[in-house]
Amino acid sequence: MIDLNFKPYLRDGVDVYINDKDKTVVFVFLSTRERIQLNVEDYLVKLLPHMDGVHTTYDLVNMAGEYNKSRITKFISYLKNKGIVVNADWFEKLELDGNYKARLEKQIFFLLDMTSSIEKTLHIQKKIKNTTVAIFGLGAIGSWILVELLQMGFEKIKLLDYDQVEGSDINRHAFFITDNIGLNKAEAYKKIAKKITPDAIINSHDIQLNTECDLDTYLNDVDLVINCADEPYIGYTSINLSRYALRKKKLLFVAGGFDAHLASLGEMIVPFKTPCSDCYNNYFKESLKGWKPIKHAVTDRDKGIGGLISLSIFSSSNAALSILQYFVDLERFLSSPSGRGEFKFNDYSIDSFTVKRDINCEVCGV
Amino acid sequence: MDSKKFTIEEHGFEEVKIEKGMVNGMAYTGDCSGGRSDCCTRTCSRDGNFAASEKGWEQFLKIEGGQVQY
Amino acid sequence: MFDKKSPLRLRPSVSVIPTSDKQVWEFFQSNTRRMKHIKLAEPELAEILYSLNGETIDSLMKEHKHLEKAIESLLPVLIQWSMIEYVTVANEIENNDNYRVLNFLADYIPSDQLLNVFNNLENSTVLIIGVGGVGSWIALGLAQSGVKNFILCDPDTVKPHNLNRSLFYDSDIGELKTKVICNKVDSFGDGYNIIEINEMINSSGDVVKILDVYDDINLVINASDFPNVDTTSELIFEPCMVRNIPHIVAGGYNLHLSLIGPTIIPHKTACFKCIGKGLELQQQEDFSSIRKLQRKKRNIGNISPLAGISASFTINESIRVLCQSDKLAPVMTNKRGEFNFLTSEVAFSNYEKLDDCFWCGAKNA
Repeated sequence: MIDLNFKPYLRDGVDVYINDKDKTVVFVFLSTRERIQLNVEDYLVKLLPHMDGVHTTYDLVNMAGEYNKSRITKFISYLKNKGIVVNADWFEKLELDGNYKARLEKQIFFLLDMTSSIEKTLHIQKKIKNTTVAIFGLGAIGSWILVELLQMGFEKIKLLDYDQVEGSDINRHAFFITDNIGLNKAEAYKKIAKKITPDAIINSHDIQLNTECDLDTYLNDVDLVINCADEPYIGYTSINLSRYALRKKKLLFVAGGFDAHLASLGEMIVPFKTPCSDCYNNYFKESLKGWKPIKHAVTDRDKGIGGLISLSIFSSSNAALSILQYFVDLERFLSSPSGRGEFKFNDYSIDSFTVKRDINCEVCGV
Repeated sequence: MDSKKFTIEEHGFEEVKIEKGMVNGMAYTGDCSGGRSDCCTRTCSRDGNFAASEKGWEQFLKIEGGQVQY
Repeated sequence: MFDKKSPLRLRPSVSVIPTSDKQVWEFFQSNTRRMKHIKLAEPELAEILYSLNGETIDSLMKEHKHLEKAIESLLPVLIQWSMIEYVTVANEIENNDNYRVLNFLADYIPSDQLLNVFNNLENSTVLIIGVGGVGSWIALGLAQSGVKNFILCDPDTVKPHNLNRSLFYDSDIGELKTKVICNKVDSFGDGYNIIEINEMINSSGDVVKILDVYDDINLVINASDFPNVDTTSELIFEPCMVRNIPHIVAGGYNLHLSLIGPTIIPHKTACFKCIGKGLELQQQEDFSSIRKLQRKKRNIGNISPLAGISASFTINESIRVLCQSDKLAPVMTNKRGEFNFLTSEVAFSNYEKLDDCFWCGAKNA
């Protein structure tokens, strides 16, 4: 039951529609488009505009007339349970570090809209804050994912890349700075990460993800691995990381470096819940059997490849979004199909297809 | 460019419309990202890198049937 | 006309692929994943094409006399279709730090026009109103794609709560947003020209003032979301229509739907008002006999990935507009889109340029 001092605040993320004729009120949750339709008596409808975080429940009771006190408190209590109203000072009272909270204010409001629960919102943001992430490959995709993870409140990040920053990175990399040309990419992005979030704990490693790399050395304390290591091929590095992730029960997101797919929507690999990288490999091998390419006339094609920053941003943003969705609602995340997608510049359409867990998969099969 | 004016009889070539995905006798549009298979990596990848480390990786990962497609 | 003496090569990002029909070959552009199928009378022609690396039309005609006519017709077509390129142009591309953008545009712009078109992009002037949540991504994204001249309009200073999605550093807090973006663009290299305007746009008159002073603006992007993007677009559209300046409505979102577009080419495509009318008609069904409870100053949250996605559409559109080539027209004309972050799907609604539109209708043509 609610206190008479409770100051109900009609949440910003809820639209309220009132039908004066048949005395119904529809609450529309903007983020999820869910609706709650109620039959509400007049004297309660009249109180809605006053649920502005300024008036106390006591004030509202007085407005309506003392004799409806119990009905009014029950109504407000109902609205509170449904996440339609919240305590006016819920954000001030939220138990998070002051600076962190100030930065993340807009996301926290967004999360409340998604979950309609202050407790869940706090839990999600805290979990994000305490998750340790590793990013292999700080290129066009990896660099933007780093930026967005920091902006979403991730604070413990390991960066791994053996390459150097080049002048041509200007066309696609996040926070490109000519001053960083020649620096190891992991090191360069550590500097940038600390400028975005001074309190973040960032480690950088000038290493290549190759067959000799001992993954435990770097990933033992990591919860979420993001793979953008595309040398020599994203398939190899992903399968390698996927098998490790399954053994060690870590999350893996294969984000990019899909050669010739400039705006791919990669995949989250949740050990034994989603298809693993071996499943993806098995899937593509089937559909691509017997493919024999013709050798290209031009041998050195490094500088012949195209790209646009907008496409890298699109891919990275989808990766960051998927990761957030995983943290916000695991059940919903796992119930939506896994697969691969691609944004097409030509007409802005998004192609996508589903990949299922391969029951005969040598690595994750039953 | 108006491709209709080029005919195979007169110019030795003409543009044709192909049913989407039927290339090399295989239909792979439906199942592949972006209406085209990832196998294009085989032609558009930086060949040098690829060829050299392919064997090393495929041995390391012990992939049945050799090639990895991703 | 086509230079028959200039060496040509198969573009590195184009693959030539045999099909099940021995005479038909697929030409696949891997940057944009588009293809053309060409039936060739002679297999020798195919070999010439997939081995093309430095030969000229003249030399090929001499070497393959029996295929003279085909070579003379086919190679220029392949240049037009962006499958093959001039080696001189290719060398220029490779020596330019912007090679990725150049190679990407080359999927649409033929080799002989590419450098001129890229020039159009570089030398454009873009006015961006609002360089916060989505505007900062757009400004930096366009600068990183080659655009050199910007007019940035934003009265605000950086606040802590901007950091969850604007491309600012922690140390930028307290600084003018325009100054921060200006500094970041300067760190990309030389040659950028940026004008900062630190005033709020409160009326069409404010926009007119800017457009009168800076009369060579190629594109206006509205990325200001205070109080909302529709309100600010209302102020911008008329001055742009009068001066024939293409303008893009960027950003704005309704929580789970991030709004995209439209791109307005004055007097050629549906204008802001045509689309507004179209929207009105669409929304009439929904809640007609019901009143919506009005509340002021709603603090609707937002997140970084949605800013990125929104900006990426605007950057794509802007590049298309600024290239000024009919080979690369904008997509979001006569359209508005909504990106659903719950499903990662984009849905488009189409609108028409209305004949009776006061601003761009038939009688104004």
